[in-house]
Amino acid sequence: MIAEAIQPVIEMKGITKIYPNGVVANKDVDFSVRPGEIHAVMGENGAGKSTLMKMLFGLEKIDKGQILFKGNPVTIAKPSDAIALKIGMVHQEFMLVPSLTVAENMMLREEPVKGIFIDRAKAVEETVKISEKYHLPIDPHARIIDLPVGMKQRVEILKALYRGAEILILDEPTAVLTPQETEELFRQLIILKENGHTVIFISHKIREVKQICDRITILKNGLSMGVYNVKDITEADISRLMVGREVKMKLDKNKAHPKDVVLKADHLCYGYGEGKLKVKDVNFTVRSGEIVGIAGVEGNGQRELLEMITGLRKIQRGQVHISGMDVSKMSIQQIRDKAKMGYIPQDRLLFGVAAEATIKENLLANRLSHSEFSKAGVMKEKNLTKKAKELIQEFRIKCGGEKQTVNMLSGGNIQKVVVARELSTQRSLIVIDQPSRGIDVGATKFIHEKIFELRDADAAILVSSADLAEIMELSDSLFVMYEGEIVAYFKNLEGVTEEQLGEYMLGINRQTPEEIKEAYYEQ
Amino acid sequence: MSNKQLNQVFSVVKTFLAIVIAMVVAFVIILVVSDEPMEALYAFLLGPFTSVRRIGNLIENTIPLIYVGLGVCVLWATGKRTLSGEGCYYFGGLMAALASIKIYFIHGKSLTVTSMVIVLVVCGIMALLPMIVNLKYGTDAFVVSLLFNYVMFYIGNYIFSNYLMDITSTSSGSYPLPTDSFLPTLIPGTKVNANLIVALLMIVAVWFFMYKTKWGYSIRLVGLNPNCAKYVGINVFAVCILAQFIGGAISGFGGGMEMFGRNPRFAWFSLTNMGWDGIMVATLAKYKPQYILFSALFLGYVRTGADIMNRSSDVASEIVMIIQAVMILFIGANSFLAAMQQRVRVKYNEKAEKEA
Repeated sequence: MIAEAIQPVIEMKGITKIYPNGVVANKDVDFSVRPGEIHAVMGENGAGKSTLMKMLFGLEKIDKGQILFKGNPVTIAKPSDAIALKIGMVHQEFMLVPSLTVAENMMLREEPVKGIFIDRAKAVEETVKISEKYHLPIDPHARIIDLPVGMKQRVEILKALYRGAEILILDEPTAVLTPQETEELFRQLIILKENGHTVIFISHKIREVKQICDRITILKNGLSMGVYNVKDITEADISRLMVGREVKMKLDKNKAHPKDVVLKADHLCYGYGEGKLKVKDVNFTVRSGEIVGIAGVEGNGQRELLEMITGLRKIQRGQVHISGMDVSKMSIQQIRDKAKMGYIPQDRLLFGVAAEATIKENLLANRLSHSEFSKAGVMKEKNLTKKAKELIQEFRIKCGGEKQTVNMLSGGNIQKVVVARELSTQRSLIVIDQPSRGIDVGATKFIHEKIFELRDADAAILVSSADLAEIMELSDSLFVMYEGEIVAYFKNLEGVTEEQLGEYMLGINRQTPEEIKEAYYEQ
Repeated sequence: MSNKQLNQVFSVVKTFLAIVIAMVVAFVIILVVSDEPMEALYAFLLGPFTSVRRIGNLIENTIPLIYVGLGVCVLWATGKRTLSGEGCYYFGGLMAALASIKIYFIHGKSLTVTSMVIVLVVCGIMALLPMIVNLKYGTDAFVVSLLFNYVMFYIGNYIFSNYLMDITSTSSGSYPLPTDSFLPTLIPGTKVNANLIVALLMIVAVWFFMYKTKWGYSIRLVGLNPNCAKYVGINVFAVCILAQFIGGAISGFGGGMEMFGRNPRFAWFSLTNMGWDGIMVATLAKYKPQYILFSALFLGYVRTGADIMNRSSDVASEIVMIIQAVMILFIGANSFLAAMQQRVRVKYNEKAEKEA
């Protein structure tokens, strides 16, 4: 802990926030930022980082506590109050209008006008001016929809700066970036810092925080674990404070012994009539007993590819076979029950669970027709409850019983509910999209172990993740997708570095067709 | 008190307060417009309990509200909101009249049962069309079902004027309904018949269906998160269709049962508005079948009271509409008492922490 010597620009004192579902997001949290520093807010998901920042930006109402701005108490009830105090926020989900240009997005709601018309020339001029001032080059005429993620983020930062922000809140800015883009962002943040701006950097990646931050506030379960100078604290200490125990990061992994081909994708295409193809002639196989990874910047066709394989999206061209069965002729229920496919989707609240239903109802949603659980349509409550209790124990779901609704759980435990449902019946193919997105280290480790366990039991596993470190740890072999195509395939990952993969992910590099062809294993 | 209990308590308090506020508004209006407000209030509040016949009226008014309320619970459970209850209730009455008058080879109670089976099937099917075009072609289920109610009405009107209208009678209406098919009366001196028992059983049946069968579970899951339902392999199309069939059938059933003892002839010359009342009953019951009895009873009571007031004082029965409007306004308002609820939530949280 360090004493406050310098007058902080923002102080939040004794902040408490309880959500209507009863979750205590923040409890008596003290938080302060000095002018001109890069201050990290760290914690596992569900620790209360985002909530705390949302209150600072006026998106959530404070239940208890006080905000001081340069020593004076202020009320921030809505974002415009925060903007008036020169606070800007860049959200995880970008708040941009995709069909408009950069300049138009920059000027939204503050459009320069000539008479009753919008002065477009002036808008472009203003955009150029601000981008030069902060050394953040951008093409003002480009449409948002055509920009890569890193550029969109830059537009968001410029937008905040244009509105006069001197304190910038970045909510997990690197989650969607490649290593190269991340480096670029850090360079920009240092420039901003040198210009006297203050940056609040929300993250759960320890390495990044060590790299650019000055001080760090660690949150755990809605409580503040203290403020530290980054140079005085070790990575192990940070990890211990965040999780509350030492976490062994590397897992033991047996060598893979691939057997028969289970999943076969031939010439898959998607996106006719949408401008350009989202998935372009993708061929690959997954064999039982191996984990095949898909690396790539998000939005390069991974999601469409996985949804075609799992039956959620109609296949427009090409074929998918699971254990020899043609997926395009089957309903989702058949793909699940006959082809024995399990699927852990990327967005668990949108697809994975019904948040207002109970844990029990969510755990058993896919097996109500089994004779063990229903007879002539009437559910066998006793068996259902017994099974739910078993699963809660086996998958270590932290909850107050099977009758609790899922929206009371933390992100990691919701993911465990999905995992428990999908992996607890015999599966020959398991498709996993972003296995550990937004969940804590402990839950991630548990899920990774489960994946290895199932692979060793001869399941075929296909994993997609935007987190390079994760995909490299999980995969036995791996391919990279860029603009809907497979641009690289690695039979094994020995000697492959993140930077190398990054080059393929950004389209800088590309393997020969012969090398890529190896992703398709001919029997 | 846990957070769940807190939310439940506030849910009950909010509903109760909405009712109280609505009643107070009604009282104020009565006080203002009436020359003899005390008599009017007395007739309104206590009138329904002053004689066996009036208690009978109260129950008679409540029964169809139970059916249409249950109908809406199921019709809306998938999250796709349709107004099919309105058309189905009318069509159920018409089909029951048609079947019991025209089927001459079956008599007595077998005729009642046969007619009601026909009503269930026909009304279930009638409710499907708006949902099918919604699922297949993306039309708005709400609007299409609203318009389709008029289609049902005009089909019904055609059937009525060509096959059922008794032109020899002085009273307008259909041929007389066969009295041997009427249900046995439960309370002498009233028209409360066995329909009451059937309605109560229907509440239990719908509750069982929604919470204890896999179909009911699937319907609820689609309502809670259609994406998740699709993803776990539930056939969303079939589930939505099923919910419409059952919801439409129950609403039609309510209309049909009116033809076996309460009316001597079929004499509905317009849509009945019962579908809309069903929405009100279901909203008041938070769309849970187990609460339908209470909400239907309450609405039945208010209506009966207003009716009596209309006859015995100078206040018109339209006062009911004001009560309903105010009530629905407050029940539908999510932010009503939300700030207070949040304060209590924070306070309880702190107390729980101190104890721990």
